Amino acid sequence: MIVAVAGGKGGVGKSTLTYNLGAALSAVVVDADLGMADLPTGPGPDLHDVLAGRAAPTEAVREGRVRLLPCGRSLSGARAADVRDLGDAIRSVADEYGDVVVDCPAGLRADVGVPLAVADACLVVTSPRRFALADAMRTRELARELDAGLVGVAVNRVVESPPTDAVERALGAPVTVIPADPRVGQSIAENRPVVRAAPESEAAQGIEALAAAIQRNSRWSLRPQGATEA
Amino acid sequence: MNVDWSVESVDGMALVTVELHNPTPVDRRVRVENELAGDVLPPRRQGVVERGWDDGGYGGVVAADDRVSLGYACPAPVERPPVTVSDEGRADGDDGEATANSAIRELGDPSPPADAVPLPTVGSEAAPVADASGDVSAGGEPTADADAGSAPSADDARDAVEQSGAASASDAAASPDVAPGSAASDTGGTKSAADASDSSTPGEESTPAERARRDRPVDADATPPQAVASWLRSVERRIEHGEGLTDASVVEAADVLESAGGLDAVASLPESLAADAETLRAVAAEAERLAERAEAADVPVDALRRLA
Repeated sequence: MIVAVAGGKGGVGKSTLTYNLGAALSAVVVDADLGMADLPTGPGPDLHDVLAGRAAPTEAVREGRVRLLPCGRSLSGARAADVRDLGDAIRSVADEYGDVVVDCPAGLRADVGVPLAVADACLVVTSPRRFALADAMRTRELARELDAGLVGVAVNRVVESPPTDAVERALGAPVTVIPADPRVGQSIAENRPVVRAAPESEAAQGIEALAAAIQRNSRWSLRPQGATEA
Repeated sequence: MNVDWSVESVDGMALVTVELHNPTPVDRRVRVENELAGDVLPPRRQGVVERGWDDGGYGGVVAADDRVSLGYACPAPVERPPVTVSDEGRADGDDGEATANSAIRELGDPSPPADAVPLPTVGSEAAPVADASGDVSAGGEPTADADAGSAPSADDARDAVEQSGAASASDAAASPDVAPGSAASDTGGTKSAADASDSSTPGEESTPAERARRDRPVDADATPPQAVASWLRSVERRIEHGEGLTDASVVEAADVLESAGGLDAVASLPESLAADAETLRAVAAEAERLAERAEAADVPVDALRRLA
């Protein structure tokens, strides 16, 4: 089962949400932002190496609190990465580990389109601002064209109560509100997914609600975490 | 199914067009098989083969009372007919395709342009070089010499290591017209791009000659712009290969062939060297002419300042 997390607009918190969603779903998080990766990497092969044919996709998956396939940061790596192999790379991680959440880059180029094309479902992240909503609608159209069913919309970093009904009507999918919470922003740097660090927080509960919506709406394999390590 | 075809030969390449007309009131599936003695070179968008094409030809659906026009190239002598068309009956079911390939065709390759990729500088080359195993980001000790050099986008030592590792592993990143393993090699790059990518498979160990060349100090007073320098480097590399094969013994030739990536990689070398020589002469003449004009130009700054 592959879920693509997209949103069109940059800076709405896609990567942070994807990371925390990966924790809530016990899925592998793939950082597909080939040009401007966000999720932490470290020594060892990354997605650039995979897409340049220098490493197998499963070799590049890092174990940790959240299983992660990170992406390199260099422009030369992004240049050498062949986006045509991205779909197969995501699929082979899904074959090995079961469930995959893909952090799509901003924009509507092929590095968004390929994850959407191979994904079983798509989650659109937006911020409660008008301009972000317009991009979310474009992403929704692209997902529809590429047969990635929209399972939900996350309105992220909400401070005041957002126009949930209007967003729901515009995007045609159930909306989940994720309140602004500094612990979510820090979760990647501290390697502490908020669903474990502060499960009682509203943000964590929002992420759990998204995870539940994905599981309800899809053929999510209910595999306990760690089962693949046996 | 009504079929109309034409074939013409241009420079040894057969160009085939096929027009299919389905006069029936139902959609029909059709297969167009190439009969020429060569591989099908199908149409591409964004470097990705158009939908329906494969090595042998085209398969697809012609809608009821509709026409489909196809065209492909084939490096083979012209024969008539160039194709056989078989009607495979009524098309049923969904022929929709939501694949990674269709996404790339529609949306475009997101790779950064070659010119945006920073070139390895003298400073960053002093950083530890990763081996051919591809694990270019391993072993990134913060002792890397990122500060000494001017690696244009090296945010930290690890980046510098990664860049110099990737660059020296393939030496391809040093050339703006080369995209190792990326779609650009499919989109009909220039001759020099094709040559260079032939001899620079990712993960290839750099030869001693290349290392020596890179270690040579650069004259800071007269350094050409990076794009020019990298072009000159790729030309120099081809010339080195050519020189290595000129009047070479079997052992020397074997060395060059190994470093160049095999016989296939040097097959087009004479042609590229001739083209290189011509381009270099043209560039030299133009550069000389511009240098003279630059020297002859006299901007009267003081006089202008007085006027202003």
